Amino acid sequence: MTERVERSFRAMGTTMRLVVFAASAAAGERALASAEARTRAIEARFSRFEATSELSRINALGGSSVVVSAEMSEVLDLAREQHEATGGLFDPAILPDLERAGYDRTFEDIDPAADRRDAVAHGTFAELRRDGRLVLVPPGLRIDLGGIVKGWSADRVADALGDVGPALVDLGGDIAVRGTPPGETAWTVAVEDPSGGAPLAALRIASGAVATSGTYRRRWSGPGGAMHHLIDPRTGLPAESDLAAVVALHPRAAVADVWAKCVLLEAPARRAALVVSCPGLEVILVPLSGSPVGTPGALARCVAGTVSGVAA
Amino acid sequence: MNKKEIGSALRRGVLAGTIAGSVAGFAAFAVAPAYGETRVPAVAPSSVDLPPVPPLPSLAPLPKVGSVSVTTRVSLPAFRPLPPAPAVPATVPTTRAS
Repeated sequence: MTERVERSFRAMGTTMRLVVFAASAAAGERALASAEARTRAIEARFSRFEATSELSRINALGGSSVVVSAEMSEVLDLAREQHEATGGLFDPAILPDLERAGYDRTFEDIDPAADRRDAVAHGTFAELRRDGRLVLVPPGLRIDLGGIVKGWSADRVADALGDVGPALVDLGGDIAVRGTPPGETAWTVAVEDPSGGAPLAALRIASGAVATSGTYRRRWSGPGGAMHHLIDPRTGLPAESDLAAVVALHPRAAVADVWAKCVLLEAPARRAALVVSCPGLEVILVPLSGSPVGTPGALARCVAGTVSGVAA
Repeated sequence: MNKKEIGSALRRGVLAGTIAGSVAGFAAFAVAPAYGETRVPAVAPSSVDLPPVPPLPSLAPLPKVGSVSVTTRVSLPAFRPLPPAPAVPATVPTTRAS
């Protein structure tokens, strides 16, 4: 007999939800408490809004080197891997552009009337020099790992909870699962309608992860018009896309997190080629106008009938 | 004998001695048997029957190469419409942008 235990909390500027089926309620609660603490520790290390975070200290280096933590080194390695795999579409070095667009403080504190600084020339993430855990930050290079850390955290927390029992980790919409609920063959995950209606689809996720990226949240008004947080590294400006959102399915939440953004940034004519360049990736495209479409693998996971036996 | 006559006599003697020594050395190597030399018995010649050589294939002119086209096909996913969404309880976790 297993006990279903659940916990929700705010972290990383969004709502987190953790579910685990444990041998006992007490064991489940202990696992969830540990998972929440791990999530908060990750936020403290990788936040660009906390001056004392490790990431902020790295960004303040400019031209000097530092030995980073093992966790930071792991995420920097993963970010470099994804920067190369996406041909530079994923680029954590867009932080100066993100700040210039107005996202230079937590989202809740953005001042729409604030003066925008002039464009700042900066390098790409490929210019970050590494020698093991020694990092040399070129002058002017500052990074934002927000585009990958949430997915990476979902993977790590799901791994830890998965050791206790079947688990689902929902870090603000980046969802990773381990095992399946008792008596079920998969978890059911809904796909949010950007326009606010009923869910666009229900997916059956037996393993791996699903992440969504869109321009319909974290939007604000600026002197130049509507702004959002998805910066196109090719222009340094908030991306212009015919898509409201991209839902990505992949065995790893970190990869789904990155590629959902990149598919949204990519031009329509090159979008399909980009998707096939990432093994294991399936996507659902939600256009600004029109009906959502998906790759065969994504459609195969859509629930066509009634959603029943919901374990989450 | 003056100095000229003494020098001339010496040159003649050296020349004659050199020639005589060369002839004697050549004769010694030519006539004397080599040290440790062994005689190898002569092998009687024999005839070997080789298999017949197969005939060479007949050569034909190479066909003319026309224009060659190579087509690489990358299987791109066909994006298809999603099926109608079922009613989903609010308790179901939802993937969303954040």
